[in-house]
Amino acid sequence: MAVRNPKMKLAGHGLLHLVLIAGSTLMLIPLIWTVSTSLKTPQQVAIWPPEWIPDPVMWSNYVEVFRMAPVMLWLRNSLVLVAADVIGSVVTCSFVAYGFARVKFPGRDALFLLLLSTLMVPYVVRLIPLYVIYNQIGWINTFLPVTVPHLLGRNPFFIFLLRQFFMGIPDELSDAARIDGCSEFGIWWRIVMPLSKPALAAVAIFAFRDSWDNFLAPLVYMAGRPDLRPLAVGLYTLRGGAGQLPDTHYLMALSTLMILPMLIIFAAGQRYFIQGVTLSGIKG
Amino acid sequence: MTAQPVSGERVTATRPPRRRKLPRWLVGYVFIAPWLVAFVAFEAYPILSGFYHSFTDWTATGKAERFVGLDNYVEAFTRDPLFWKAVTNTIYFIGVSVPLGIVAAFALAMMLNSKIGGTTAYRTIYYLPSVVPAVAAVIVWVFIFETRRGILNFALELLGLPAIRWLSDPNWAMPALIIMSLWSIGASMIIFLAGLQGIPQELYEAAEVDGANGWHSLWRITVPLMTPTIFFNLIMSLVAAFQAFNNAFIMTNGGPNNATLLYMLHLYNNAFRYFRMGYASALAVVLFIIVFGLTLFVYRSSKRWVYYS
Amino acid sequence: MSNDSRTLSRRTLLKLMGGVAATGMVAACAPAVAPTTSGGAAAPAQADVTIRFWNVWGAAREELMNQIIARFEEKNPGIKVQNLVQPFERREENLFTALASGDPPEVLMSSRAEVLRFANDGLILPIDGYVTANNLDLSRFYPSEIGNFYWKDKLYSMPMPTGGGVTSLTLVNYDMLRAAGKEDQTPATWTELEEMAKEFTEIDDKGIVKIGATVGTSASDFFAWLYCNGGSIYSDDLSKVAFDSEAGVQTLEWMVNFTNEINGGVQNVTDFFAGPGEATEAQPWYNDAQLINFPNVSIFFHMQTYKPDMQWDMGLRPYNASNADAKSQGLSGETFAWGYVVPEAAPEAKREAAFKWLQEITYEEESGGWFVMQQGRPSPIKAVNEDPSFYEVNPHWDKVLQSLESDVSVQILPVHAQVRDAVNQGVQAAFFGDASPADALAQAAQQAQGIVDDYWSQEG
Repeated sequence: MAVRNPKMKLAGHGLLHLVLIAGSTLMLIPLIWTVSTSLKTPQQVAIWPPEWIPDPVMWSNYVEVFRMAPVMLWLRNSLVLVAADVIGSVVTCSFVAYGFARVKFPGRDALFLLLLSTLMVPYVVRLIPLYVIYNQIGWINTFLPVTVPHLLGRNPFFIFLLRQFFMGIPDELSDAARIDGCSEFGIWWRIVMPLSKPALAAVAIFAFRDSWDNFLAPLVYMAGRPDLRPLAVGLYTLRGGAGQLPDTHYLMALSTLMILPMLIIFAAGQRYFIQGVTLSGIKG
Repeated sequence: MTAQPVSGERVTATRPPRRRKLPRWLVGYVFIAPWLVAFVAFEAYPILSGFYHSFTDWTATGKAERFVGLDNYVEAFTRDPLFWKAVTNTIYFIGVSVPLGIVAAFALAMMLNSKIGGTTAYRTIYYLPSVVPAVAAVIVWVFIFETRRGILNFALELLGLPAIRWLSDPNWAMPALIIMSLWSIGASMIIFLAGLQGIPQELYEAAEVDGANGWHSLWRITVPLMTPTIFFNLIMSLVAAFQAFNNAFIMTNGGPNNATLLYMLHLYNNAFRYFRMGYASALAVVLFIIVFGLTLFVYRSSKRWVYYS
Repeated sequence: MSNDSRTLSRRTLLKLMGGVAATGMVAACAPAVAPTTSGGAAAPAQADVTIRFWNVWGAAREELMNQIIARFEEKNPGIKVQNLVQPFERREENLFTALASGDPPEVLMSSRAEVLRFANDGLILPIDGYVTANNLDLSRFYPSEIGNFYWKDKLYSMPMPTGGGVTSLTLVNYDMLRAAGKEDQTPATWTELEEMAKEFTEIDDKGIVKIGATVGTSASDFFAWLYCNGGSIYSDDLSKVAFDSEAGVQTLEWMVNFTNEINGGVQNVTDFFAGPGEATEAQPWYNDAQLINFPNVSIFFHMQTYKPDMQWDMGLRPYNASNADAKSQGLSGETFAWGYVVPEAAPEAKREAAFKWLQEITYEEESGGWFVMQQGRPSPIKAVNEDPSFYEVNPHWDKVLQSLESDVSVQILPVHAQVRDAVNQGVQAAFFGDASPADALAQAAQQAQGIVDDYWSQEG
């Protein structure tokens, strides 16, 4: 960071790049693998050890997979889940997190521990009681069990994450705004939210990934409605099982298509990690 | 309600008392209300029900359940031969994967936060393994770990090292799972990166003027200011690692010879394969107490090492 | 919604959010279940009953099932069948949660051990009354197949496909034999198997290159060999475990020795079959790298796809010739035997229709029988398997039938999954050298007996 000698700096950078490139190779394997398999015929998929570059390259898999499976329907359903999760996480979770981070009220610490503790109860023992609740209020086989809790900011992970960031924002800022007549809600929306873009971007990226990849909840709560299945569940129907031959090439093609939006969201969110937030004027 | 632009000069006026529409404590509850509603509606009952059922022989198949007192707990600690195996395996997994994961993710975030060029590409690449769908990832991992022709052993061979039976040797299956977990440090890296953005650049410049080298800045500025983020990642990694399930479930299913039988896997087997929901609930309560105790410990200790501005 | 969203502007986000709420509400209003309906948009005045059919017959088989449904609905106006194909992944959780919820689908596909468990706990309905009322002739099934679905003298399901043919088949790759200049031969005894395996297994410094045969390394493999050595898992009255008998110890010792001496240990075997995954063309069997195979009946269809020109023959699973009580025997229903059950929670008004559908997919030759035939698999209905077209897929079809006849329906307890896992612990311990086979089995038996005792004490 503070290396003065330009030569040393250059050498340091070179070394860094070397380390990073070595790591990158490892990290790229799953992706290259997925893409390469998506371009194979079933016969090529079965060749072991596998070939990195298929011959011939089966671009048609990407067309076929749409004919094989109701991909557009799955996509629509996935978008519904993703929208609920992202909105819930960015808006509701940050709203709740503000309460935990910057408003003092009796019972706050205890409630926060309660919030954290909900993360520690394994889903296995919650699945059936939760199903019973959803069933009683008529939510089974609808999107509601996988959207409403998210819209209500049910994700303690994000609340915790945002709380950590909000606590790091200097008090002087909100004090100043308060003096100007800003309500707590105004401070949250006008001051804390804009200052927390990196954290919010991270939350949006995670929320997108989580709901895009969420398998178990949609599987169980919407088991009776195959037409409400999201991509993550649909993908598994290409997997095989029970003595059925897997359609690995289609599975990988669809996986590749599923990776793309996540990368786009990531690229969009990344902006906020680079630009940085200048808190200088405040800290003085 | 005119909010003044923040960017401007510091406001140093005195603080005249303001009329408030809501008492301050109520404001707090308004903020957390959405979560409270969700908690009461969807969390409280399942959690309490799990706690209650840990004292019964509930099967969830509709058979009348009996109250068995502490029997499930006694069984776990004294009669279940796999309980302690699962506990030690899980401690092993956590003890190695959590510290390694945090250090690696932090180091990575530091490197990718410096001005060396190409960071956008690197960040994307390091995040990639986190977005490959789990189904696809498993197929890839089998190929990476394969003994005879796998990529990992190929690399070892290039280094002149002997091949390792990653998934069939009880001594190596757990390291294999840990390696898999390190593959997805991209998420922690992002959180660290977001945290690093909050550190004012001026602090480094000032330190440089004072003649501090990179090492000093790291320990005097970066690490202290990053403690809230480190604290967060530590707790979340612990919570997640205690409940690690998927990889062990899909890749090894607890084998070979129970080497990767993680706690959650044991719990799952009891719940959904043996229909022993009551016993599984007791296992869940034990897990909860351990994780909660540990979290409370970290949380309490955090007052000593976490600095909020 | 999906076409134009390059960037998610706030307005699009809001629109999406509205979409969420709207879709959610519409979905909430539309009764997925349509209980004793009327008022549905499509259905006129007719009093339709909709049967939700929960199953894992995915991919190509979904289409076959839909054809059966179409025919069934034509025959039975007033009954609609909804084909709810579930992914195989996390099947247990999904099924179990649906069943425990109080509003389960009317017909559920589940494995034999699950069926017995559900029956034992009163979660599903016996079908004896229906069978009697409709004069169904159960002798059309192999005794071992229909036998799998009795619990305490009541019948809970009929079979489809077979639970048998899982452990009795022994396939030999004649291409490999002939290439090595050997006589055509199918091993009938343990000794013959050892000799053939020894001759064909090749090992280098990284492990197995070609394998003669593996006797397997799991509890299910142990059970299969146990029955070919005159042993059994439980005592006849199911009150005691019996796998730790002398025959059991001998069986496990033989398996461990076979694996260590011929294949160089359990890890070698695991590694050899790891990699490409089940049911793919890269498996050693399709690549002249495995001489003898103990597959299940779905292999004939796969062989047609992957290696139609292979020369092969088959026999029954080899038995221990040095034991006078032993003979070749297959197990039906120890692991997967699929049945179809009607939950106790199904409303009265739907039960008759649900039973009717259950009958269609199991009992009816042109439906349940046709369904497995399309997949080149044997049917639990004897008459179906006499169709000569089976020989086109499998020239040795007569031997498949012979194996089905030789199968026994193993009596198991509803806690069998847990017992099997306890045995698996012992088998693993023996293979990894943590304990001698005798000690490992004694330990497993103690564990398993505890589970069995618990079960009986709760039954009162």
